[in-house]
Order: sequence, then C-alpha cells, then structure tokens
Amino acid sequence: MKENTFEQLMELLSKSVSLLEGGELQLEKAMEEYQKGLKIIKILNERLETAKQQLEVVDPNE
Amino acid sequence: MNQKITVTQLNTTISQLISNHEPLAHVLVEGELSNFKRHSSGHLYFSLKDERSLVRCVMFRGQTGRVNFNPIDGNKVIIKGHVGVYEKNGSYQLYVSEMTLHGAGDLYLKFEQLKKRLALEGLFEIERKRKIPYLPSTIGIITSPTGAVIKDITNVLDRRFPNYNAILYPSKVQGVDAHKTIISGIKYFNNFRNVDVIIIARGGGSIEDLWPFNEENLAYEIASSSIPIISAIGHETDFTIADFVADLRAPTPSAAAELVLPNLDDIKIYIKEKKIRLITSMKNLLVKKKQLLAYYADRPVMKRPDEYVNKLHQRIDQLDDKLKFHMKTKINSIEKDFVVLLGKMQSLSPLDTIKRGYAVIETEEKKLITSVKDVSKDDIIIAKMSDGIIISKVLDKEKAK
Repeated sequence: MKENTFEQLMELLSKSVSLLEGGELQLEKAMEEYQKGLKIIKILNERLETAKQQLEVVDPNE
Repeated sequence: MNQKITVTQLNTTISQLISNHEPLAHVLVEGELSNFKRHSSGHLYFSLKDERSLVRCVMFRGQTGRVNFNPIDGNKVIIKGHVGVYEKNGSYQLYVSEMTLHGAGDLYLKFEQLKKRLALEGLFEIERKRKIPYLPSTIGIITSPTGAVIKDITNVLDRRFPNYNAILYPSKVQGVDAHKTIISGIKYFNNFRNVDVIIIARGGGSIEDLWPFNEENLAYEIASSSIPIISAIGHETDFTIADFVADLRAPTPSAAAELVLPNLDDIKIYIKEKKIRLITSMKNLLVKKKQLLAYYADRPVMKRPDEYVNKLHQRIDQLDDKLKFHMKTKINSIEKDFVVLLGKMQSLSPLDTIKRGYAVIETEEKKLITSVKDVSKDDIIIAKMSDGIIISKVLDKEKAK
C-alpha cells in the first residue's frame, strides 16, 4: 500500500467502504476490508501531514 | 456631355461610384503614419504614406477601442477599412476600422504558422497529454522570482494546502533569451526528478511580452518533458504555443495553483467521512451477522434437537399408519370387486343352466347346435346333461313359426 499514490489509496478506501456498506461480505472478508480501510486512512493522514518544506528556490547557476 | 451639373452632383456621383466598387469596400493598407491627430471628440485623423504617395484617413471613436498601441507619426501600421468620399471638400479618404502595428502583425502571422505546423506534428494531441497527479508531493515552478506571479501562486497554495512542497526555478519571463531560461528549468526538473508536476507561469502582457512562450524550442521541450506540465501564462484570454503543448492550461497563475493541489480541508473531510462510513458499515455488518446467528440459534431444532428428532419419528409413524390404512382399504376394495366379478362369472356359466334341466346339444363333430338349420333328418346329435350325455337320432325337424 505504501507504494500506491494518494489518489489510488483514496480509490481503495472508497472500494472498501462500498464493499462493507453492501453488507454481503463474509465476516472474515469484512474484517479484512475494515482493517485495510483503517490502514489506508492512517497512511493518507500521514501523507497529508508530512510535506512541510514549503517553497525552496533553486540557484540556476549551481 | 454638354449638360451642366452642380459640384454637389459631381461629388455625389463620384461618391456613389466609389462606394459601389466592391474592391474598395474592404481594403488592407500598409503604410507609415503621419500628421497623426487625436481630436477632442475621440476621432483619429491622420495620413498614411509610403515613399511616393499619401492618403487621408479617419478612424471614428467607436473603432479606436481596439487599437492596442499608442500611435505616433512614423509608426509602420496596417489598417483595415473602406474608401469613401468626403463630399464636402471633394476628397476621398480611408475610413479605418482596425489599425495594428506592422511588427505585431508579423508576430501574429508567425504565431499562427507555428501553431499550424506544431499541430500537424501532433504536439497538441490530447492523447499525448500526461495526467496531472492528484496530490503532487512536490511542485516545480518556473517563473520570475520577483513580481506578483510567484506571490499569487504561493498565496493560493498557502490557503488551500498549507504544508505543500514547492521548488522554484527562477527564470526570465520576458526578452529574447527568456525561453532559454525556461527550457533550462524544464531540463533541471527532468534531470533531478525532484518534482511530480511543473508549473510554467507568467503574468499578463502584450503579444511581444508573451513571445518567449511562443518559441518553437520551448514547445518541443514541454512536449518531451517526462514530468507533466501546467501552463499558466498571462490572462484568461491569452493563448500561447506553450499553452497548447502543455498537459494542462490554467487560465491564470492563481488558477494553476488551484488546479495543482486540492483543498486540504476538503480532503480531510472526505477521509473523515469515509472513516465514519467504514466504521458504521462494519458495525452494521456485525449486528447483521449477530442477528442472523441469533435467529438460527432460536430455531427449535437448535434449542431442542431431541424434540425435533422425536417429532420426526412421530411423523414417520403417522405416515406408516396412513400407508397401512390405505393399503388395507385398497385390498378390501379389490376383494369386493373380485367377489362381485365371481358372482357375475357364475351366473354366466352354462353349467348352472344345465343343472336346471337344460342341455347343450352338439353334432357328432362336437359342433354346437343353435338352430334347426344345423341338423338334418337322421343326424346323430348329442345332448350334454349335468350328469352325462344322451345320444339321439333326429326323426324330424320343424321350424318354429
């Protein structure tokens, strides 16, 4: 999951939610999707918090 | 020919002649401005000349709004208009509807030609446009380090996504070698691969100001970049070659900043909403499974399995009884039918009749005699009785009347 882009993770999360909301999953599969969803949410939030550098300026003469 | 006409009639005739002459209704004339005067009424009066000739021109106030330069004597211009006669003093003049600087016209032509050529080469094809990443971890910006543009961009980013990462490659955005510094910027980001998307930005300006973004070399550099590029050049109405080649055109630099990063708050709300739905649906699913379990556990078979088995046995006994009963009934009815049938058969048997004194009469060949026609005089006939036979001879026969 770490190698997925933010957008892909958002899609995966949406998919997990839809599957669970469908209510037709077997218990084991449901638990799996639920854990996966929570893990994705954690990664997404981490990614949102990490970038903090703001604006860096390149010296073109370097 | 000798008929006299007035001056007015003469001028009117000439005026009509000229205005009915189609080639003079739309002319494009190149020349140098002289005697330029802007009247207090807003109308422009001037002459257009070349080495040998001169023509009077007038441009009325309603048309002057589209002149995008400040005309002065000596300007080389191209004007568009029609030829008409000013009957009051018997002179013809050019009524100007458009006026452009000659050089600018060249640039426009150059722009159109390059655009056409690059389009033919497929540089503007939608298919070759790269997808702009949804949430770039770092954004490359190529623009002037001073001025409003970079401030506009960072202001928008600060507001939408305060903890963004951006790298500014300072470039020139105006002048003959500006495009070279922009190309260097694209090369820099492609070499270091330290950004997910590049914004090339510049504020508004004239076609000359924006010209670096119409340079052919820049167009090719944008096309060959492996990092997606957003162009944000000038105002909404300005289109440059770079805009056509770029993977995404933002109408303004601020708009580019809006396009490149989503609103952080929106994403947070989105994730939160998904989290709530995830937890709620998991809870609901568990409740549903529990209910299902409870339902099954509550069924009699689960609660009192013995009873269930006993009930089954009972049912089997019932069925057995039923079967036996039906079999019995069936057999009885068959027996009854049999007795009836037997009775019928008995009543039909000739033996009974014989017992009552009747006889069966046969010929010597054991053929049954049923009519007087079957026998002749002196035939031997045999009468079969219940206890034996009587052999007789036919003495005579008489047919019943």
